[in-house]
Amino acid sequence: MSVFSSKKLKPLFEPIITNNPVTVQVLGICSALAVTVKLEPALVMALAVTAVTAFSNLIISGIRNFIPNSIRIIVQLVIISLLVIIVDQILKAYAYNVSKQLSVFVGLIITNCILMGRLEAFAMANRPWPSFLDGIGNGAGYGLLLVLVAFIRELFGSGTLLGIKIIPQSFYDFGYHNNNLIILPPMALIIVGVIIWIQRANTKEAKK
Amino acid sequence: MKQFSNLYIFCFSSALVLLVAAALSFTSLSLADKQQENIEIERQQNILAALGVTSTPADVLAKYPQYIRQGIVIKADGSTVSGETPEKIDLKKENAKPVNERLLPVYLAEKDGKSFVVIPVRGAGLWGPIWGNVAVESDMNTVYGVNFDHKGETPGLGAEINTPQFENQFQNKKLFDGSNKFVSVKVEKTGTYTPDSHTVDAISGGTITSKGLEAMMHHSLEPYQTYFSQHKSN
Repeated sequence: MSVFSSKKLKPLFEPIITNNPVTVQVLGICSALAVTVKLEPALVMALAVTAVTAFSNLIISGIRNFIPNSIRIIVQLVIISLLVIIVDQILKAYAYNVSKQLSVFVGLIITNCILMGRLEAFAMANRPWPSFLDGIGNGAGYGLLLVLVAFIRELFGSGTLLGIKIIPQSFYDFGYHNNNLIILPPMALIIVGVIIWIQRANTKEAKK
Repeated sequence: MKQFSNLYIFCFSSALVLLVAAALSFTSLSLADKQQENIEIERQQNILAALGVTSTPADVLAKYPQYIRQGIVIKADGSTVSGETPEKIDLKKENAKPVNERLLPVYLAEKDGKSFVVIPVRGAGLWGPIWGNVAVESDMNTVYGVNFDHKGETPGLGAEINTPQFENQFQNKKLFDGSNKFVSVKVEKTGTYTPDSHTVDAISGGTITSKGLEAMMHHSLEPYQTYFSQHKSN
């Protein structure tokens, strides 16, 4: 069987919509609220988390048979921290402005439940290649939601997308205002809630 | 479930930690130069921004020497401290010292044939530090331009201090009143705000950041009074 057959790719695609880590498993909500004010940091955060989930899954799966059960959580955390710090350092060197906007939230990827969740639930019991795909899938599922929320928040909160003005000046001249509530964290929670609602209302599994 | 001996667990964790430490040291060392360069580029960009000079990370290293002639360090009595460079001054540490012991950085700048001084400022916002640069004209009274930045103020509210809409308000404001008393630039709420030469309009919803910025302007510029009065050109 080829490594790209549809069954093998299930760990990659399933977490993107049907088993999305944020909307279905409701993990990683904290950072989803914090970094979604603007689209650019959300995109970078999505990439950073995807890289960390993918490679931590890969590494842990690769050494899973050698990890003593009694210290497995610590080993997982050490690997996650290693990757997060590397990502943080790379951002500081090559994407300085974005890393300033993300500030502590890159470091806080360490505490993102999606990572530990995937390592415990998947990487510890599966071979490296499916684990790697599972990591990318979950990172992408998280990223998709982040980008969706950030799109809505930046468009209506700041009238821009990726820093480019989208809502024309003439709207403002007519008395249109950017919605300041959307910029604040509570509105991110409401947007995430609405997305979860829409998704659950449209999937069979959630109805039962 | 396979059982591991204590010795194995001990060796495994030691080896893991050594490997991780080696990987981190390698990353840190190989990226340190690039990171330091980013910090330096940002500092120079911020100083030029206070002078109203726009720069990109690519061209700032070439532009900076065209505008900034010299950086000096002074004391509150106006005397120059030799052997110090303003680039190395840590404002956070200096602000904690008594006024008379503080090392005060000054950048002497020139733009379109006119001379300016640029003063770095630092203070506290709502969530963390805020800082910036204030460019003062050669009369040592008129603010030519400012540039502010912050660590993590609320986006859309306090974070607006680094937008041109807010910063441009400081242009042509006076640091001293008619009787030569230092008053700095104040930040006022709309409603009580009347445009005069010492006040700018605060940010709605960003009251604590605005007040912190007002305090920063006052505390950071106050020690320069003597220097200002010694060096004003008219």
